[in-house]
Amino acid sequence: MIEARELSKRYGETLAVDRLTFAASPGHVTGFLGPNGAGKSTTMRMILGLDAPTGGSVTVNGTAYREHRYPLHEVGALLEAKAIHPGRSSYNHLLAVAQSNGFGPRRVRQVLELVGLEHVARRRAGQYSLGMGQRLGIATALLGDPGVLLLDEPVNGLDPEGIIWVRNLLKSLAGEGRTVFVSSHLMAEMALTADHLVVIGRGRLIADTSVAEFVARASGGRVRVSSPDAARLRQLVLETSSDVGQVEAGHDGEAPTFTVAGLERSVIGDLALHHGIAIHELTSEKASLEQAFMELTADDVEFRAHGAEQPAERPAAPVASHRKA
Amino acid sequence: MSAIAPTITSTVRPDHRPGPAGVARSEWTKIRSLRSTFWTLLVTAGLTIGLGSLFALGRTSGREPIGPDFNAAGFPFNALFLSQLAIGVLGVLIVTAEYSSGMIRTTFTAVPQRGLLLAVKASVFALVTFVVAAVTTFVTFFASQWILGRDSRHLGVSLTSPNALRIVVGAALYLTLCGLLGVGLGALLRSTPAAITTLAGLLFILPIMMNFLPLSWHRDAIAQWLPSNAGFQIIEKVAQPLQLTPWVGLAVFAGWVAVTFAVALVLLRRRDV
Repeated sequence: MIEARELSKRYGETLAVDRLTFAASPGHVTGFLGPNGAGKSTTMRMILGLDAPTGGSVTVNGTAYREHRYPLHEVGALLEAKAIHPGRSSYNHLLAVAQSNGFGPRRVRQVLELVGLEHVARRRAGQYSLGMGQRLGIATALLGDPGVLLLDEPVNGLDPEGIIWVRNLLKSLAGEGRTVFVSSHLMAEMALTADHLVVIGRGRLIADTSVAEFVARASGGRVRVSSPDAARLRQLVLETSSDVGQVEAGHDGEAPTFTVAGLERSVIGDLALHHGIAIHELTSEKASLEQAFMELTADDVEFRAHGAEQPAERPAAPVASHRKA
Repeated sequence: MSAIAPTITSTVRPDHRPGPAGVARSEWTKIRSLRSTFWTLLVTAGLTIGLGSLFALGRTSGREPIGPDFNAAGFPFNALFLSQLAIGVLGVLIVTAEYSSGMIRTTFTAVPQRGLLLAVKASVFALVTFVVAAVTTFVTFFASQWILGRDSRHLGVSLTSPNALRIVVGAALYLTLCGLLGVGLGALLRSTPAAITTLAGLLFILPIMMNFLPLSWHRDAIAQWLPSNAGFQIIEKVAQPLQLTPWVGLAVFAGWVAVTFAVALVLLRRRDV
């Protein structure tokens, strides 16, 4: 269990993390999502007691990380892949970390085998690919058989096989009742791995919700209607739904369109039939996870390429449902 | 790779926690697992033994006037002027390499007690350095005295002659302190170039700069307290004018190292990693 309360971090003028309150609970993969520079890594360092918060607090299983008697058994962390001396072999790297907490070579061999690095364990880490570095980082995180796992961008640089491997590993770790807290800027990956999402932008909490809810809220469950008599149909729809978009002219001789929220396609179709209005298109608009993410974080991206188009077509709706009562 | 579940769980025992013994084993693994450690120690030993023998050989040419107060035992250890930098750089690197690679975050995650970590890291390094340094200074002594002994004036002395043992052991202690100064500066400054520059500044440049200050500024009274000036008195046969006595000088040098560590420790506890 990781709990952050009003967690803040200020670097001079910059507020990197701004009164962040969230929780990651055992048995779940919690995705920690945000654009680059949103404050994900800073938050993770504060969880591990590496950086001191300038406000608020964060605990792991109810205790500040630095107070734990069995740190490696409490939390396993991967902060950066290849955060290892390039001249040291992965075996010796793991052994050094293991020994500091009283673990021995046997445990090192176990985790090396687990991540599939047993055959290159004696090679110097400087020769490792980014993917091997990630595997070594994951091995380091697993050394102490921790109840909480904290992984910063673990699939970066992995090949497709490796990505699937990490996905399954994280799910199985959560399945064993562990707390898995994993950051990423890749929305699609999180959709497949996480069951809960903590989304931040510019250090602030944007959403703390389940993946399904996140998409549903962001896309708003809208239906897109195209009809030659769009204006009349829109008036009829307005009697049952208050959230109806303006009619937009169709392109290239196509019928004009408008969107509706809160109504099933079947209801709209029956309504049109009942009034003898032709319908050319009737589709559910499902925002992709990427799209939902972009819309929600559009205002919170710190760096954007000059002149880059705003991905959001609609103003972002706040999606904040707090799991905790 | 496909079978995940069976090997994840291990049995955690009560001793699976950071303690001095475990951290010492860990730091020893870090030191011995890098080839650069071996090479730097070899360079330190080679420079000391090589230059020490060379200096001894220079005195046997016959052209050098040798006075009655010639410090036969200590003279070859002027080689430390150079080798002190090699061991100091190794001390710097065992700390700053962890920062530059990012390993330090893993280290402090595994051992959140930062004071314990620095203390144990420094102790393990000091032990390794002292063993190598002692072998080096004894070899330097016997090699240089053998060379001096071949001179017709029989300039060489034995280890049992007055002050000889103190000089040889003291030289090893001096090298160890130089390495520790590097560790302290590394922990204080966290950056390899900054720490090495400061190390060279303290050991080399500061004493030279003192020569350009006017005498009326109590130059000599100040200069004797500088780290390398004070520390180098340990290789003198007898106390030198305007200098501290051998053991007091070495103690003053150790004081510099202690102050560096005290500041590093305070900052280490307070700073973000």
